Amino acid sequence: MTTRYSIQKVASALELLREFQAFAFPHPDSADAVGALVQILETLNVALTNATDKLDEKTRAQATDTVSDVLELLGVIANSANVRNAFEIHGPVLKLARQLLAGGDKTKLILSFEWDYVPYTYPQNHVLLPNFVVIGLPASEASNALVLPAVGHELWAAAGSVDTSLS
Amino acid sequence: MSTTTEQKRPEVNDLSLLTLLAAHEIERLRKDETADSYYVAMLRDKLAGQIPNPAENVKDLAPSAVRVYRNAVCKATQTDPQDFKRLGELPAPLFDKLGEVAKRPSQKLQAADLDKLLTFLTALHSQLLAQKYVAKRSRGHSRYRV
Repeated sequence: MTTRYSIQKVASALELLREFQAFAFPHPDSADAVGALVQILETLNVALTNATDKLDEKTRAQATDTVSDVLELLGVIANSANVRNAFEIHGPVLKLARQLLAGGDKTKLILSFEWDYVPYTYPQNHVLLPNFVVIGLPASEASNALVLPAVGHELWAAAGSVDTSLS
Repeated sequence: MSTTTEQKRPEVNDLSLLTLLAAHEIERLRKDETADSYYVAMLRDKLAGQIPNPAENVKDLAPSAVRVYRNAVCKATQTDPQDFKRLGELPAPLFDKLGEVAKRPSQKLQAADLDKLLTFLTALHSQLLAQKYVAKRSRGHSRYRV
């Protein structure tokens, strides 16, 4: 893989992110997340463009890894605008999250859904979106109000999380 | 790097990306180009948060983190630390140098010091990226699953 290809790869991901920036999300947190990802990729783009021989290979490897992380998150963010989500619970859950979690008022929330029937959370531990709690609930349970308590469970998981970035 | 881009630099929490960006700054200083060591300072703070005093705290790290430091230190110093005491002693000067560069990026440092720092950071970056690949492979995703 060449540097030119890596630059092209990052540029394509940036183009996709910018398309998402033009979307109208039901909650501003999703748009903020896209903005944060754009900044990360722009920084990486500058590094790729200026990489010396010594750092070229490492920068390309990092670009591949970061683009992969960004695209995975972008899928979740895109799903957060889908009508399968209960948009009306975003406000109350965000309020709870801000009271419960270390981030306080800086905490942002992305409520989304997933296709594996396995509720999940990135409890302010995703390296690219450290201020965000990302919660995914099963897509097939979109019409079931009883799935909403799972959000409380995921917030509990978020409250108990610790920084393990090196380990 | 353009001035416009430097003005809106994001906070970077991905340790591998942060290490790489810091390495880029060190490389520019090595080549006598200007760099304000923004990411070097961020990395120094992040590392200081995890190992406030390497000489005493290295043994408190998770085994995988100890491996990361051992390999990076080994590459930078050409010495393989055989115990926690030595592993704590060896990175301390490197951390100090990182702090120096972070505080006074314009100050001329010995080329050898910058070479050593660059080797340390590139080795650290390789280790961190490899660790991320392993974590991704073993967990599928870095998600908490119920």
